Amino acid sequence: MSKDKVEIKEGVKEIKELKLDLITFEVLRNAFVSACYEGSTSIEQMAYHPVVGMGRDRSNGILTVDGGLVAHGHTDAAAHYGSFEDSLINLLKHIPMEKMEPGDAFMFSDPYEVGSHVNDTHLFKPIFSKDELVAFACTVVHWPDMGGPLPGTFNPEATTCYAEGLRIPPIRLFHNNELNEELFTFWAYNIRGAVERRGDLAAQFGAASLLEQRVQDLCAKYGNDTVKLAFEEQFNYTERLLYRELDEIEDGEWEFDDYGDQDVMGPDKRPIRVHCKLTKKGRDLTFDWTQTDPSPVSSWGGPRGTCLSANYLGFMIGFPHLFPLNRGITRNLNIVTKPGTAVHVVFPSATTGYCSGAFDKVESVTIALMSSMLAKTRPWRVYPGSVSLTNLCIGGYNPRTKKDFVQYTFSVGGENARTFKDGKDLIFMRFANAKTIPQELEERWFPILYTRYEAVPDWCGHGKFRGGFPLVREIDVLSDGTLTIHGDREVYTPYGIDGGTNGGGGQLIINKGTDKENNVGMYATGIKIKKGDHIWFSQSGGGGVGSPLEREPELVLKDVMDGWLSLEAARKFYGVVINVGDEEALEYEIDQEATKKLRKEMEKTPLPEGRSAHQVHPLGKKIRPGWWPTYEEVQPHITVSRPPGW
Amino acid sequence: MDEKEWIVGTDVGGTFTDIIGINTKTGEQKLGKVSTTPPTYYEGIINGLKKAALSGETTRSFRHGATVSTNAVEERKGVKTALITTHGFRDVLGGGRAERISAFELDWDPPEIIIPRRNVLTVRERVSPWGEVVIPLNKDDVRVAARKCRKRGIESIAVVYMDSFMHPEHEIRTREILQEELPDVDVTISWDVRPEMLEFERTTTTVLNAYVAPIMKNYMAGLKDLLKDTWRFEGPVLITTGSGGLVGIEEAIKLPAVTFHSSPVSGAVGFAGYCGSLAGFENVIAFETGGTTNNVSMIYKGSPAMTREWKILWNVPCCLPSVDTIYMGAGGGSIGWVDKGGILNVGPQSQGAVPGPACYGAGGEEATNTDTQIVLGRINPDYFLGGEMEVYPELSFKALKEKIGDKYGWSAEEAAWNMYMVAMTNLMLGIRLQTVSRGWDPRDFAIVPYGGGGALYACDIAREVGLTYVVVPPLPGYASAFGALRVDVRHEFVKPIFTLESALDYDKINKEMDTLVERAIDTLRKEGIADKDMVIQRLADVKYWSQSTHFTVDVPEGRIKDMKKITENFLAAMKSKYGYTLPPGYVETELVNLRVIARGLVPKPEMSEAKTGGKLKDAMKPRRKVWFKDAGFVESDIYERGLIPVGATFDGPAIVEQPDTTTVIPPRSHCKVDKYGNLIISVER
Repeated sequence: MSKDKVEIKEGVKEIKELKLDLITFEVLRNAFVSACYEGSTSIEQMAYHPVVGMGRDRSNGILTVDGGLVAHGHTDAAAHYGSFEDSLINLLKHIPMEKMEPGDAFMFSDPYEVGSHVNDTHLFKPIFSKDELVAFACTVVHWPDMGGPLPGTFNPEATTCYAEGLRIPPIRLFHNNELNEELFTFWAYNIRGAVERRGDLAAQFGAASLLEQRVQDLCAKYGNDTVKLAFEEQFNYTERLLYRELDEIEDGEWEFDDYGDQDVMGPDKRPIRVHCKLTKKGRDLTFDWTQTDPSPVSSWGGPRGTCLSANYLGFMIGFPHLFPLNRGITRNLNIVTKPGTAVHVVFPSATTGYCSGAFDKVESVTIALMSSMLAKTRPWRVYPGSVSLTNLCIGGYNPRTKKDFVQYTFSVGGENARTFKDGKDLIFMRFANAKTIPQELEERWFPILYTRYEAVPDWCGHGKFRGGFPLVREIDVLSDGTLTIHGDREVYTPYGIDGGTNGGGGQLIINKGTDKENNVGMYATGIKIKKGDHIWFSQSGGGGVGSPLEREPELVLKDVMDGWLSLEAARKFYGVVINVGDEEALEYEIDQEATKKLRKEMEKTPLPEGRSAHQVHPLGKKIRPGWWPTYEEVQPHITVSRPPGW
Repeated sequence: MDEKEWIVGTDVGGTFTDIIGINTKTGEQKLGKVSTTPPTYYEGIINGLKKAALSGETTRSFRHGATVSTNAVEERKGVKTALITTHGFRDVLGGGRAERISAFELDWDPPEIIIPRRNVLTVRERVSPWGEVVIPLNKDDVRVAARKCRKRGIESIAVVYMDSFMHPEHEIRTREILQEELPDVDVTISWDVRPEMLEFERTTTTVLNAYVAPIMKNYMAGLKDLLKDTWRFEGPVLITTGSGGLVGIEEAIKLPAVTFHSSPVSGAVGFAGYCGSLAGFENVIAFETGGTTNNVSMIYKGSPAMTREWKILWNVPCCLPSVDTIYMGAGGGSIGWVDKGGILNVGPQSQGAVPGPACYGAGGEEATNTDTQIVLGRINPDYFLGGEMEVYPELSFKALKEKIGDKYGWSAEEAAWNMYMVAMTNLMLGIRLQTVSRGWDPRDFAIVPYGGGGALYACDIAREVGLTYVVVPPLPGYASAFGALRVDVRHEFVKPIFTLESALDYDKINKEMDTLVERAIDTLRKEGIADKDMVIQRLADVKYWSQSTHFTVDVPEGRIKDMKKITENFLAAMKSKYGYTLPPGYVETELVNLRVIARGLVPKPEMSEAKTGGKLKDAMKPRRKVWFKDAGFVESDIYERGLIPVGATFDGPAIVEQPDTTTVIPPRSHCKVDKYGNLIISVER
């Protein structure tokens, strides 16, 4: 009997021990995810701010009364739902369950207790059915402003939370489903754009109430006990699937580290190291982050909740079929952090920069460790590094609307190569499932004109399979203003593996190629920009897999013909010599002899090692797939959990 | 003999070409179903017309629908296409909106872009968001691009410039140059396709048009000639569109992109929506189940739910006004399987038509939804496609037992009903999501199933979702062809304005609106629509300037003097969708676009009244055991649809059989047959 069959038999044996009937379980577990997705969709429809709507910077979850995550929506942000469990547990420490009533909703956005940063406001709604508190709904919306010195609350120069924005302790913001106007007014006085935020808050409360309704409907139909049992069985089911995987994977210990470019407010602006050791022993998994550098001075680190959510995201990328993240997984991961380190900052450290900083590095290190662990048995789950988040804010006065404006720009970069295929180009970073805001829309909101929205050629991580290409935006400034960038990955770029190179890094250059050129880098606050200035802003490219010299020359040729690679890069990285006839007719041809000769020559002098663009990563090179899987082999393992109609 | 009494509809599908003709005087109905004949699809139509014994000389109006354009995109059978765009914006098409399908699955890839990057050519030019020329069109660049296209054997070119909808001259001039240089190459400019904001959406839609244009133009021109020469038809040929309407064939030749998605849409609007309304329901869930997928569309208060972004492929939206149709991967061929955690799943993998369900005996060994229906006694294996197709029920039993039952220690029957329930769960959640996400209560709707499998599920879905009525129309196999007879001519015209309320020049606005209305009337006239049959709707797209999406609202009649009423309409629309508006005067409103929807009312034959008389008893066939949820296998009445008399009433559990579908009527539900032959089933909760 094949291994697959044994496993299925085992699974069936266990599922038959379910305390509820198979179909009821199936209906309920699907209904939980569906309810969360409904909640997120309703926010997308209702929210005023485009970052919340189009940007999908919102999430919904259902949790058990003791803080077990049951489900989250398909398109939600991992940075949110990954810390729901701890957030709820912390909420209950402040406000015991006995004091909660139907129609209450609690707002909570203290980063040290809920993870991420002050802008991610958590709204918890206790769900009652027949006088019993059966579950909690949690709805997070990223508020575009939470007060503080800078519009948008992001402040790269902040060294404490007092230079960022308003931290909200657990407050009963809604009682009897009515907004507490006094509390909200107190809040509203301290933030920008509070009038529009009423709309976003209505959307947020609407989503939490929708989740409440869905769970109540299920309780009415199936009974409170059955629904609660289904929560528990969902954990058990996911756990069994997880054990099935872990039982097939060899024990071991793996280590990896990654760096933030600089502690920009620190005295020596040193790079920030994030380190983790993964130990697998049987079904026990420990992620030990304690060797990470101490908490940076600047706003870069993340509280423990951030480390958890990034660790969970990286973990789920190794096992996507375990969707959705739930307690069946979280209770099996032993995540160890040390208070006072960059991945577990404590009060009063600044946190608004957590996402491009600590979150991104924890995610990247986790994926490297998962790749190491899975390399021998699941080589298609072996991934290099990928584009990270960058927050670019341009602010100033808009002559058209006669109002001040703040423009946020999301990063769009290259995704990691796979062991069977190149990486995807021009894609959103992994932490969210968002859509970009169209240039033509931004041009009408803000005094800017786009002059480029295009991939940066040659800027991927090179390899047998190359990473994806990042985006460059070029913008003409039409009105004086200021520019703040809070990013990373300019120096320490997305890592390559197994001899593939690191991707290209992010860059922000004002007036590139003129005598006024100003290379701003990925960290800058309040740079003055003038009408007529020109901004060149590119992001990072995905890391490559395997030696570029092993890449099929035909694939290099194709990339050259498509304008992804220059002829020079084809030679320099891949040792492929291409002769060009009539370019207009696409007459390109590989010079087979010259290529053979050049490749032989290049084998003698390996690419330089290092952690920057187009170098071979010293730790990444040791991560090697057990074999090169074919696409046909990989296909059955691809599991996309998507809502109906996607 | 020159009494032109017939109106004829056709739908060219991937496998079959359907023809339906209705005599507007007598109500007589003629049908024809023949094989589709790619690539000369019009031959199939002529065959079908012959089979249905319809004559061009007695036909007043010809309505045509086809999946040809959609299939060409799905199967990558369009022509070799290039895109010419603004210098610096080469990756707007390929980059899309940078969306990923799943947060966790990195091994998934979106379908490849229709135009490879090498054939995305750029030209130096730029227009500002306000329509000023920032960089004049570089004509040499256009000629270089033309030369490249010639050398590369490009057959069709899409031209899309940034912000071109504010100043189309660059696109228009580019087309002129391309036509000089490449007289045989088809050119589509975005100004003609979608003169609206959002560069990716405008680009992909223009590219889609260019990709199928030569094929569709050829096909439709050929069709027109053939209908005239071979079928001797002189009247108007109207083509169905994805917006749930019709356009004259000349308009469709100009802009073939309007035909995307048209087949399922006319089925939903003109068939399911119409049959629902005949039975007294103006809120309808149109539920089509075929071999590989089901399509769900919503019709609310008689109007279909629309979308401005209908996805042909995951990353290839067609952004013309379109009836929203949601695909759920649960057709007859969807496969049941057990995962490593012991959970039973259905789909999304499908056996399709080949090898098909296990019962086809064509080598398919997997248990599919169709197999469950056979094992549960719902589909009569001796009456599959009216008995025209031989199926092997023992293979269904075998597949369910071996592929699923044995894993759980179940019989084939147990495996079948469990699998059925899983499939139902997915459908139920999908349908709920579709209604609820629009703020509608599903309980206010009636389900109208069609296609081969819809009526197998509809009553159970109704019960699960909590709605009461199911209407099963006659002729479920001719939904799209019939639907083409029941929709009107529809055009949409748009003019971007992008001006804050305080800066509006009302003389200019009125002039622009008048121009749109003139264009609308002119287009309808060319299609032979009499003035009295024109319905012109004047609309405005309005938003707070800082919002990302706009609301389309009515413009009051007469000259536009101010924004008062329009703003009121906007605030009411916003309030109803969002539940809030901002305090007056807080953020200024912006007039985004002026819009005109022009309808031309065309004669629409009524569904013929059924003439079946006799007794219900005569329709009864031998009883058999059929499985129902909460009841198990129950001895049930079996009826032959064609013999059930009008006005008959009967109760479930029952099965109604007909060659092209099977209707399952569960216990605690009641069926009555209205004068059109609709089965109207009420389901007790």
